[in-house]
Amino acid sequence: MDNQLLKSVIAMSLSGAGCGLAGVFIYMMGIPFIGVAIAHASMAGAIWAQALGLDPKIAAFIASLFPTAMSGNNAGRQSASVNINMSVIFSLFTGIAFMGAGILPGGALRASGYLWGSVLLADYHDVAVLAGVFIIISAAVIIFYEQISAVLFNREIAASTGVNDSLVYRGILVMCGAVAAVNLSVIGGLMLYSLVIIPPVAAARFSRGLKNFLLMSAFAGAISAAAGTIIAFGFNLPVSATVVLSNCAFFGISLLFPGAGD
Amino acid sequence: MDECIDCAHVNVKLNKTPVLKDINLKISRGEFVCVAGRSGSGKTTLLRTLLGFNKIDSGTVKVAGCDVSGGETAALRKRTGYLPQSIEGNYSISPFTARDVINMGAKGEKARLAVEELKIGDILSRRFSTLSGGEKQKVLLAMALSRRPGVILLDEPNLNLDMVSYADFISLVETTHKAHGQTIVLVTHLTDRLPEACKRVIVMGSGAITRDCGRDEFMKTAGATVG
Ligand SMILES: Nc1ncnc2c1ncn2[C@@H]1O[C@H](COP(=O)(O)OP(=O)(O)O)[C@@H](O)[C@H]1O
Ligand SMILES: [Mg+2]
Repeated sequence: MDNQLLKSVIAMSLSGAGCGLAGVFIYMMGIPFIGVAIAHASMAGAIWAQALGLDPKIAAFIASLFPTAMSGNNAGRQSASVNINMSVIFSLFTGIAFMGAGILPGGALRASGYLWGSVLLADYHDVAVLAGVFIIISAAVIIFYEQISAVLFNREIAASTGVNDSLVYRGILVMCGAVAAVNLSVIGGLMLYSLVIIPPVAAARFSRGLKNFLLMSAFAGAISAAAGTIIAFGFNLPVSATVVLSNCAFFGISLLFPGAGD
Repeated sequence: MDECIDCAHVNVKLNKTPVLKDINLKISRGEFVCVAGRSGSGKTTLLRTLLGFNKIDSGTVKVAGCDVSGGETAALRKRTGYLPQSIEGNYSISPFTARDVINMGAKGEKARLAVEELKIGDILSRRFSTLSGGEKQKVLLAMALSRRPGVILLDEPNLNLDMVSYADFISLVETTHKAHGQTIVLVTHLTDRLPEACKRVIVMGSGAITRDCGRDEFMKTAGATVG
């Protein structure tokens, strides 16, 4: 394996694994729109930050927190209202991102970089950041497993057993934001969401217990991303697009197998 | 008196709309009380207020020795068990098994005893999302019981249940009440099927308590007051 391929496979596997974890959160909270809103907010942050000479990853992460903050603590704990709010916030950030693409010097080029992403431009520093975020999230899940599990099951019930559900809920969204921010330049804002949502959808039918679900989803994300990257290099195809299609193929194949039953 | 629940002049607003108006309510330790009233009358809001989930605008709420209106909720959580009116079904395929859900209440011996008491040992490894309405309610009740609460608040547990499953569920609640003497507040509009153990009925209307009487007195005039 040449160096470029090896680096890309490692980077994409880490992307896939991190998105697979974030995907479980978003899937189980029933708030897919927050995933989309977070991806676009990060993109807006990254585009504007570069023009202002700031670090795009940090700006993307900070911007990713806006949808979370704007969703409030969702005291009513209703996913439907979150999805509606998020579709408005998503529109706002898409506007901000493309405004930046249109008026900033070099904005269009940068925007297309964040829209499509490019693992080829990733260096080992980026790989380290991807790995770092994955490790931090895994550690948080291990340490706060019971609280996270209760909130993902039902916030009202979690609260009744003494879990600070608003805090845990926000913490989960911050983790999703971190995943979006570090994956933006690698996979691109447009395809990030596919990488987030398909692994848990594929894994859901096979998993019993949350631990199992998280592991399977991260594994599904990593494997299909690695496979997509290798295929893209082999046939000289765009990596992100190949990875997304490989994800979808993975999901399609998973349907051929019987699920874990009830 | 040994009051387990004590509300005095309680007012609660949700989104600036007054929803509970001057609620005064005392429930003794070990009492089994049913709360009836039309939909929208404030029954769920009352339970959630007792649990400290709603901001209390004025008045005092004390539950199981905790000053809820004073923000004493950590101890309150240990002493109360709650079954919400509906648990949102956004996880069509959810990985949680019945056992996972019960363990959110407690693990080990406490969980085992609750499972034994409700006789649900055979469904523990099934996914919660694939259980019937009645089985789900039993699992949630086991989760609540495993924490050994002194107070149990049940919000319309009949909603997704047929009459036979509801009767089965209520008889389990009565059995546990007999065995452990918890204070039970059951919200239900099925006032023609009050559990035997329930000796007092509270009727709510437009955010206020419109009636608070003994079971027998209630039964005499039930049709006229709730509907
Ligand atoms: N979050 C909220 N904001 C404003 N009004 C609310 C909210 N939740 C409930 N209400 C109103 O409070 C009243 C009581 O609701 P609820 O306690 O759910 O009644 P019940 O359980 O008796 O059907 C209803 O009129 C309802 O519309
Ligand atoms: Mg209600």
